[in-house]
Amino acid sequence: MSDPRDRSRHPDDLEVDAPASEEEQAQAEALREALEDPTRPSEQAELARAVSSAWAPRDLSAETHRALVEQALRRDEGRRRKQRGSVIRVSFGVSVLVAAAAAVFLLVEGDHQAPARAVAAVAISRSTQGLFPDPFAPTGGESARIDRIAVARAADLRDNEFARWGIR
Amino acid sequence: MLGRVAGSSSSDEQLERERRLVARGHAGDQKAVGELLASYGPALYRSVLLPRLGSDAAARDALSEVYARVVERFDRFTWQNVGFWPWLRTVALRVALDQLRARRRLVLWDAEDVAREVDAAQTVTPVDQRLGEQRERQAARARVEEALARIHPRYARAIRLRVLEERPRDEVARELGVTPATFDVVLHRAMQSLRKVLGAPGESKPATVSGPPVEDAPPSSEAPDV
Repeated sequence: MSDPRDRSRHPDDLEVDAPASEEEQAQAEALREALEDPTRPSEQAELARAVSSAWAPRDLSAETHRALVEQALRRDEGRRRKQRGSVIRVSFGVSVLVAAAAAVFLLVEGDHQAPARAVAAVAISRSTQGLFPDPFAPTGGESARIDRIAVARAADLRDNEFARWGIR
Repeated sequence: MLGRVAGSSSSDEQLERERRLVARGHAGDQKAVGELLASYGPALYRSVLLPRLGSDAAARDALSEVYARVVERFDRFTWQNVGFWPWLRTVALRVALDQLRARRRLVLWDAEDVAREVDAAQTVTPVDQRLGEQRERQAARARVEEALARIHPRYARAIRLRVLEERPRDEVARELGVTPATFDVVLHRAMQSLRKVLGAPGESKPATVSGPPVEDAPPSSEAPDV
């Protein structure tokens, strides 16, 4: 069955002319069918097509190629749009968080700092001695001293209110 | 096709056209990127992906993946006056490598071969697409010839006539002097023998066949990690 010109000292010499078993004939038939019908699974036919593709690669149809290019561009556009959407959502989310954090900070700080500011800025209880540098007369002048104290304390009260409101 | 011939004025024009397309692409013009892909894609499929992956479906999937990567990472491409082809080819080799690693089908290239090509592409890669394609084709054919040289001459002849030349079964059987049914057995044995020398699972690994010759190297940054 082999060509005499091909006869050489090849290890497969014996196999080449050996009669085929039934199993081998069935496999040969399966290969023939798979070569004629690419949908039939066959490792040998796949290898045959791979060899053929390496030897004489066929062109991709223009339509298929165009479709692949368009698909890649479309997907990228979708990806970019999604990214932009994500950026906007993230920016919005971050803004909301920052605003919320600022509000909480002001609230908490406001509560904490208001008394501190009040303590630091308002007049505290103290003796009235500073209002009367001169010695008292033995009698009289009580009403005038009460008035002086009242005026001084009213001024303190007003200043304290302004301090608490944060306008001083 | 944007193939360039070194030193010709048309080459310079093509290079300038490519440079402008790349600049437009970097500015966000997707149409320009599409033009670049449309120019080089068919050659990429025919000379890089299909021979290495061995099937239309696998090569088509790979091309789709190459395009996706190129479009997504286009802003990483730096123009260096050697055109778009070297970068595109490197991306394609990486995609082919991923595919070969992920599957077990037997083809003429294995993952190690393509990994070596990817490494080589970092420093040396064909600058001219047409010349590169011709060399890729020569290398692929050399790979087939080398594999056929390792099997029995009668088997090699059966594969050559039926698979490479795609001649009808009956005609090949006549040429080999056997009945069509006997030819089927010969071809089956021939493919089995070829599988063996190509190192199918459980078989011995064949000697490595060299990749395509390459031209002078463009800068390595031309082939970024993609």
